[in-house]
Amino acid sequence: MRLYISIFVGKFLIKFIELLRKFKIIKYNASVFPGSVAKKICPDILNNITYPKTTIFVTGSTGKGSTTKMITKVLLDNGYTVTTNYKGSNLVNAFITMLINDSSINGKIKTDYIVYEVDERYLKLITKYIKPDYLVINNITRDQPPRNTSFEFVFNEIKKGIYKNMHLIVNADDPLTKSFELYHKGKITYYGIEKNFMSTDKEIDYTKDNLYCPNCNSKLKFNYYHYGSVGDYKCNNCGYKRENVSYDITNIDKKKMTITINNKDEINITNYILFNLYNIITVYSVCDLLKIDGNKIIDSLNNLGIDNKIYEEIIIKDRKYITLNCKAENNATYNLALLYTSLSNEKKTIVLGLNEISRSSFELLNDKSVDKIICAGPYKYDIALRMKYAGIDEKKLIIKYNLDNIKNDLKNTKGDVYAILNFDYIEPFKNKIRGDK
Amino acid sequence: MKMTIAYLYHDLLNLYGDVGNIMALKYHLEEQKIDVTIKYLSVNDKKYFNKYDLVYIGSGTDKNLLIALEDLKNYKNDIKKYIDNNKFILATGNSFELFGKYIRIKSNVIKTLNIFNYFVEYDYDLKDRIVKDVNYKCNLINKNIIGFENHPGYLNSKEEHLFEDEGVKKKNFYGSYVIGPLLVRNPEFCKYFIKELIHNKDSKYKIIDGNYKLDELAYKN
Repeated sequence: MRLYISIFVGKFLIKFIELLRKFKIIKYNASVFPGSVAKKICPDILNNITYPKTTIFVTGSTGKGSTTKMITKVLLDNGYTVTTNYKGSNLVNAFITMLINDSSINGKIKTDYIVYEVDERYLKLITKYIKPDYLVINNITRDQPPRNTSFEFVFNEIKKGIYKNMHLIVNADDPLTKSFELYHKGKITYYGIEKNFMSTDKEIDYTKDNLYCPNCNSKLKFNYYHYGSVGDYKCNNCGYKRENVSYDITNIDKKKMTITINNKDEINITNYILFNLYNIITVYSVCDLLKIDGNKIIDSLNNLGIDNKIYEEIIIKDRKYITLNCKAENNATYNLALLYTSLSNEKKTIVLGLNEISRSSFELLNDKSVDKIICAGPYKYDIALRMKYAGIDEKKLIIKYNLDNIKNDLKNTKGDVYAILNFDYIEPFKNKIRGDK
Repeated sequence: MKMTIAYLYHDLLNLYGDVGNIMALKYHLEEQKIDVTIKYLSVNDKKYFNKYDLVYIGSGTDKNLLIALEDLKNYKNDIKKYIDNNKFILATGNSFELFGKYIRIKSNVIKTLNIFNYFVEYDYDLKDRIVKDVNYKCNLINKNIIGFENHPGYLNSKEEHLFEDEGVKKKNFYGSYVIGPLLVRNPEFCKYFIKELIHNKDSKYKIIDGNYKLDELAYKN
């Protein structure tokens, strides 16, 4: 009876808050509150829901939202119904709100799949009640250190949320994510990317988190790195290595803008930023394990559409502007944006609007192809200082608080413009260069 | 003048961009016309403490810190001698915990180098972790020290503090939890440290004005 009441009240609250929002009486989303009220009425609600046959959770530091959306898209394209994050929230009460929204009054979820992006630190609070059939762990990076302390802490938090009947899907290129195998008794499937034109064998770049063997603490030997300590590694002491990769990107063709999976399936891409490619191979792995027809997965991934949020190329009056959206306080996304920028030898100007700059490889910008660097935002002097210590000539630096006059600031600069910005600067930057506002 | 800096465990203890301290040191020492060599050393690399003018060590995860400790224990007497000879060590973030008596994590006591009498304790509850912006008085210079702290350990020390109620300074051992990195965020302290380092080697060496323009703008803003 409690279950019925809690679902009824939850459903009512979702509708009621939506109505209030529609008439602009309140501004916030209804993603957490209905779930928290329902849980008060029926504390055991998560044990009483009738779940669909298959549940997939996606967690990690970066890209879990995009991956969740992409898996959902492939499933929807193939005629399935999916319950997924309600308005983007990823904590426990939001999970309950999502379930209530898609359940019948007796607690039965009406869809074929649940695909849920779950916060890496709250995973254990949800899996206490519901064990997903598949758990995707994207990556664990240096992310929001005041909140997450370190990748080691996040790894241990995720570990607490894993149970042996879950099938893990993890990145084999990262010695840390691969090391869940040392603790997990259940199934694991690995995906990865093979050596390609972006790979490097440079050891010292200051951003390598996991250079030592997770199994025996000896130093790992890397054949190549994709970024940070992600690549092809082996421990000469205990034999721990990148292996058993079931889904591998075996080729990246930047002329054709395609990737090849397992030497056979070709998929169109809109950019070759590594996190984007990892998202695609993850989605392919999940959908293949769900036994979706291979050609249909490819069709669906070929038609993802361009996600302008993460990456966009804009051409205005013969000048190319590339926006690279970074996650605030996440130096892995900064590094991949820097790596991407450094791949072009053409003359370029850089715009930096970031907030956590001490731990990224800005040395990549110390190159003669870089004409000017505009350091923007409240941390403009810290950014400029980081450039100085990266060995960049101070004469190349333009220091500006905001992007209001960016069009003017860019007038006397040369080449393509690479704007490496935290997400909240992306839209203002695009608006300014387009002259919309 | 020639100077050799040993950057210890560069591949294990660089969690908070601690390498920035090395960059600042190199930049400003070279400005003083000093020929700087940086030795990137880690586990299994042989260390010759009598050859270094400065030993730098940064912050790491709990696990990496212990990997470094196992290796560092092999050099306990060398380090003791090095400090007694008034040579410089700069240890930022949790790495300076290694030079005390022990680190206690809940009931688990990890013996550290036992060079100084301080010890560190933590119960590892996330809410008890020290995560904050700092603004410490520093008696060595007339400017406050800014930066961050992010660590679980609580220091118990009767040694002289490096900054107001924080860190350890004994002879030329400088240990502090402050990250940021310390020498990048604090130009006055960087100048002071570089001056001490140089004059320790040659008290008559003439120090010229360095380029701290951006450092000072970043400090003020």
